[in-house]
Amino acid sequence: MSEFGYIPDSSVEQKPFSNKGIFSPTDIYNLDQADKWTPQLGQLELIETQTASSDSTINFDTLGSYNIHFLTYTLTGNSADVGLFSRFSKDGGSSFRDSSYHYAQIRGDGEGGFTDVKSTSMWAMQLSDGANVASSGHAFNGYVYYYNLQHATKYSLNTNISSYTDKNAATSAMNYGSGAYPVLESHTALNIFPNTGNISGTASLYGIKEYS
Amino acid sequence: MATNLQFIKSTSGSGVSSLSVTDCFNSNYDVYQVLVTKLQTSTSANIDVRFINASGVVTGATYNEAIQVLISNSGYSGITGEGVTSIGGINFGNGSSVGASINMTVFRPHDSSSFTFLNDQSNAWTGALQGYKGIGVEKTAQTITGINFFPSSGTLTEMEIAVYGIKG
Repeated sequence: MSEFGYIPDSSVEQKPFSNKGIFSPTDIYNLDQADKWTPQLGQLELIETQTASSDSTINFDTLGSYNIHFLTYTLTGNSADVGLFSRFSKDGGSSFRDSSYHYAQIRGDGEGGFTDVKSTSMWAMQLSDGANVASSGHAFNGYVYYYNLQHATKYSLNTNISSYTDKNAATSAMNYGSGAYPVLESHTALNIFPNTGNISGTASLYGIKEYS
Repeated sequence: MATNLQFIKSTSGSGVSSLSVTDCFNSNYDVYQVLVTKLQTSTSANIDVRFINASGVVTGATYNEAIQVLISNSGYSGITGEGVTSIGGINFGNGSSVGASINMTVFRPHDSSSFTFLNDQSNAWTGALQGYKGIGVEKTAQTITGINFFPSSGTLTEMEIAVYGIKG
């Protein structure tokens, strides 16, 4: 008998997708706790869902330990001309970096066509712009993938897609593109926020589990 | 928590001319997510993609592509191709290790009666932010079992690829 289950050759190493032996429920529990059990439940792991109610920002102060984070949101607000943005923090959310961001997006709307929107010196990474989220039924909806937030030797990057109602004509609009914070530092929190007014609704942050 | 994103396989390489994930597409899933968070090339080069079937890497002129390149400090551009030998320029490597990502969705690769399509949204740091958004297709109705990445010149100093199935 080995530490984890009955294994004829005790030199066998237990690891995800390569478990060998006969296991009791206790073995399985212990292996799972040790991150050595073949996962059964999928690798998109919910970190936190937050519900905002007329708030100026939604902060995620716990990131877990992942190379890729996935954020979804659906938010209303009180402004008829507003954008949605994202920032990083290296002190657990006590303060957020507010300069030196890059973003490069395309914005499209039902009447205005498509526009390149970008910056190399922004106070946040843009997710949406020129939205009306104050009227009934209007909202920011979208998702963001964040990459390498917690690696001090890599820049924190994101890719994003959003849909919302345009500020001028109540037609639908969208943004898609990328963002970056080109400073080598490890981040421990992120946020999303409107540049004016407040937001209400839900946002969920997930981590994507990896195995080597 | 049960979720429908299920890890299948990962692979990594350094100092190689290309990197493949073999036998990662199968009949268990129709849609896959391919993720890269570690990517560095030995020299400035596009990152290109080909698919793999039972005979190996598909190198024929059977690919089409349309990719936008969104750059934070200059005008945007595009890459298009029809009847080309790879889906070229889904991302860019410039010898820097500071970061790049690839996030790709592959549709019905294992279905022998359909073409294999992909969506790509990725980015890299090249002194400015360089984002990519595009599509590609391998226009042969055949069973695809894997995926192959390679730089247009030089080698892959570092690359790590993870493949997930999206359970329907």
